Amino acid sequence: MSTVGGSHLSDQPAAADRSQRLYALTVIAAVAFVVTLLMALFYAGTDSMQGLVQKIFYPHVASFFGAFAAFGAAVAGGIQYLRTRQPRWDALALAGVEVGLALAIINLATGSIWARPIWNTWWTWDPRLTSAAVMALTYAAYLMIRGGIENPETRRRFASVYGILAFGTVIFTTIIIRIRPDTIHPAVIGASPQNAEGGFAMSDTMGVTFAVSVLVWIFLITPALMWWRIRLENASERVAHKRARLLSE
Amino acid sequence: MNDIPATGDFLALGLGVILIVLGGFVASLYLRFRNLAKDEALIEQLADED
Repeated sequence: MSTVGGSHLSDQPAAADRSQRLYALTVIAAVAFVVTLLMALFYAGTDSMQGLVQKIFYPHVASFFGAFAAFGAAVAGGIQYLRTRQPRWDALALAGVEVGLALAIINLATGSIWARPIWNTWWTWDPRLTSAAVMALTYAAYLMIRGGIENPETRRRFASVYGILAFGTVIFTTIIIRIRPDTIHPAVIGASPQNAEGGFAMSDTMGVTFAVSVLVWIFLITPALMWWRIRLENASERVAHKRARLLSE
Repeated sequence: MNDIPATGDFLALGLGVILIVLGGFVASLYLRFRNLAKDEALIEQLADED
């Protein structure tokens, strides 16, 4: 089969098709992101107790769901890599961790900003906040340790196992407001813990805005960012192969 | 009747942080793509010279 620049000629129409889909998804995700912000600002009502800062709730929670989906994809990628040893699954896992970490940082930062006027502090070592911070640090460590392993096969195998185990911190962060009654973090779905501070009654417009935000972050923003990151990893692999071939000549 | 608390500054700060983190991630992707393209061009140039 003929090849040009390392890619098969017969793959080029499929690659062009994939590129078009990625560009379309990116544009749709960007527009949908702006729409969710506009809905939060102008469609959803303003909470009379918290004021405008309550609107940070929509991207705050939605970014956590997006991170959850991305870290979940990292688990799927890790399992598939360990089964098949195909690097594309490792690229999926890496993309999941990197995007998930970015979204987890958004979740942490927006939560801290919301907490300042509502809890009168930027940060407190509450069980939920602490577990969210541990989760983010666990995935930051994934990237740091992964970057320090030279052998590609060892790196991918290690990262797969780490990515699967690290998902325990995501599950723990998700359920901790159900199992630790002393947390002051309010629950979004279902009854808040007894000591929760900063909860609010969700009106219909708030509920619609919340649902749309979560769907957009899970199904548009997260996949678009992950797809670009996978594409970057594939390009990186291609350049590494070319470099190795040049050095071996 | 209670006045609604003036917390708009915190909302603006939160939205700013979101844009910075997402924008920073997208910018890092762009820069890494650009650096890879430069590396690839250099490797191909060296291969041609050989």
